[in-house]
Amino acid sequence: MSTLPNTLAEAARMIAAKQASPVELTQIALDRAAALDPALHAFIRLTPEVALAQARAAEARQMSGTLRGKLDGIPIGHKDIYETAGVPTTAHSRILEHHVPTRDAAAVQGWAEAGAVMIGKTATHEFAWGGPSFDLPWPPARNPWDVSRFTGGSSSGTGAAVAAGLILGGTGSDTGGSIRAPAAFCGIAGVKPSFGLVSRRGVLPLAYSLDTVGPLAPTVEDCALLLQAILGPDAEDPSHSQRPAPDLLGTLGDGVKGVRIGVVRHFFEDEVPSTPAVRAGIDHLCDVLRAEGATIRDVTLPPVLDFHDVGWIILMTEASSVHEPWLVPRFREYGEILRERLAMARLVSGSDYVQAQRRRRELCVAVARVMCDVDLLICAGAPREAPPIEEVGKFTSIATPGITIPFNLIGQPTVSFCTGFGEGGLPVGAQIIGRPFEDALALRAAHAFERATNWAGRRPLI
Amino acid sequence: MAEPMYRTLFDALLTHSGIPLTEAESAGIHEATRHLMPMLERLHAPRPVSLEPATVFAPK
Repeated sequence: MSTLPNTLAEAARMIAAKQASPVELTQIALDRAAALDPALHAFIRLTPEVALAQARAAEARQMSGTLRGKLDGIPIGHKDIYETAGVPTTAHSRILEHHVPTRDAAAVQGWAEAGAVMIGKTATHEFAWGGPSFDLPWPPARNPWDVSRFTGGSSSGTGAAVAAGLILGGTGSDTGGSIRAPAAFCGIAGVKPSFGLVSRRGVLPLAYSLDTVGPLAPTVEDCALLLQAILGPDAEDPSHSQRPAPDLLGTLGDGVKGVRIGVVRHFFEDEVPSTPAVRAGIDHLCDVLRAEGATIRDVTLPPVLDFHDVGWIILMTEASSVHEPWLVPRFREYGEILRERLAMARLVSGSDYVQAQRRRRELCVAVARVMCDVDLLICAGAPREAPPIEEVGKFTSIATPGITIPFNLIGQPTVSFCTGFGEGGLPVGAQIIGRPFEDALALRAAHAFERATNWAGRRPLI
Repeated sequence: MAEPMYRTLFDALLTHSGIPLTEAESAGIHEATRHLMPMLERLHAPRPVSLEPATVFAPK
């Protein structure tokens, strides 16, 4: 074997059947990363000593018949805003270049306890907001489908590493689309869970009331396996709902018969125009889910611009408060993009922030009202294929409404996955959105599509 | 295209923040406030006084 299996689930089956060795898989991942990462820049650092120790422990469990589950022995990566005990956690920033945590983040701990093998820490936009930047100690990650292209951000390194087959899953964080954009641009799956479902303890914040943590992986099934391992109450995370862990896997294969789905077509056809391939991907998704027994119709939410305004004002203000200790004394240590975005954030007043939170409540109510009549929503994952990395502007995300931040604002679970390839040969994707804490149904619908088609688990020829 | 923030207000706010910007940075950010100002204007549309923000304190 010279490459990793195409999906995490397949690797887990092979480990369980003793057809693959965790140490061998880990060595393949490390070798592949060593060979390809000089072009992809997916990793801030590889952690071969940690990885091989974890892999040897997994292999001992494999041999003794005591595997801990489907993540045991699986090579994964952690976005470099997830704190890792004894391993630097830099946020891709000079500010924290020498920051070595003493404790693992809750999600890092969860996957380690499940037996996953940490191959390394993955690139991010600086503090999950400033990127892609070329003036930081580490370059920005590149899209494995075309290294001249953007990966999406900010979970850029995890997106690139999963798409290139360097790892079989990894952590991301999503405040305005940072899991879903890399999933869409890199042709993989990603889950932004319900706000409050997954502990954020030990994950460096961007915006307190919007941040969520979740997985990226080759398929929706893989994401469900990864997400299941980090669910459950955490008294140390005040934003956690403290709900018991839902079962994401028991119903994953139940299909969508009788499920009512609304397509938020005005978002990606009228207000944020999408390419023909993106729209064709949505039509394809609707056709497949309809054939699987779902009922599908168009629905209307408030204008995407309303979500955009509210989302960015909240994100900017909360990010500004996070960075307050460093903003003045260490301003020049930030990269240019984050530096200037944070400076702009200081122009927003307390009154602006409160008005945004009030409007946010109205938007939540408006979406909840629409979702009385439908169980799920569908929207494009990104309006187009990945752009050239040099074309991503400093203030583009503020200047141009996006179709991912609405679902951060309302805290609802969202699954992003590949629906095909566009005119430029790069992936395009869709999002399926559930009601709060109905993550299992959103995963079920996205899995139904992947099971009926052959887009999931594809890898670029690199 | 929308107007940027009044220059005097922009300068006052950034001076108050204490952030040490160069003239070029200041000019670039000021130009980009063309995108910020319409967002802020739309946010301040009148709404019922009883509508509370989504993050009210909830004693337990």
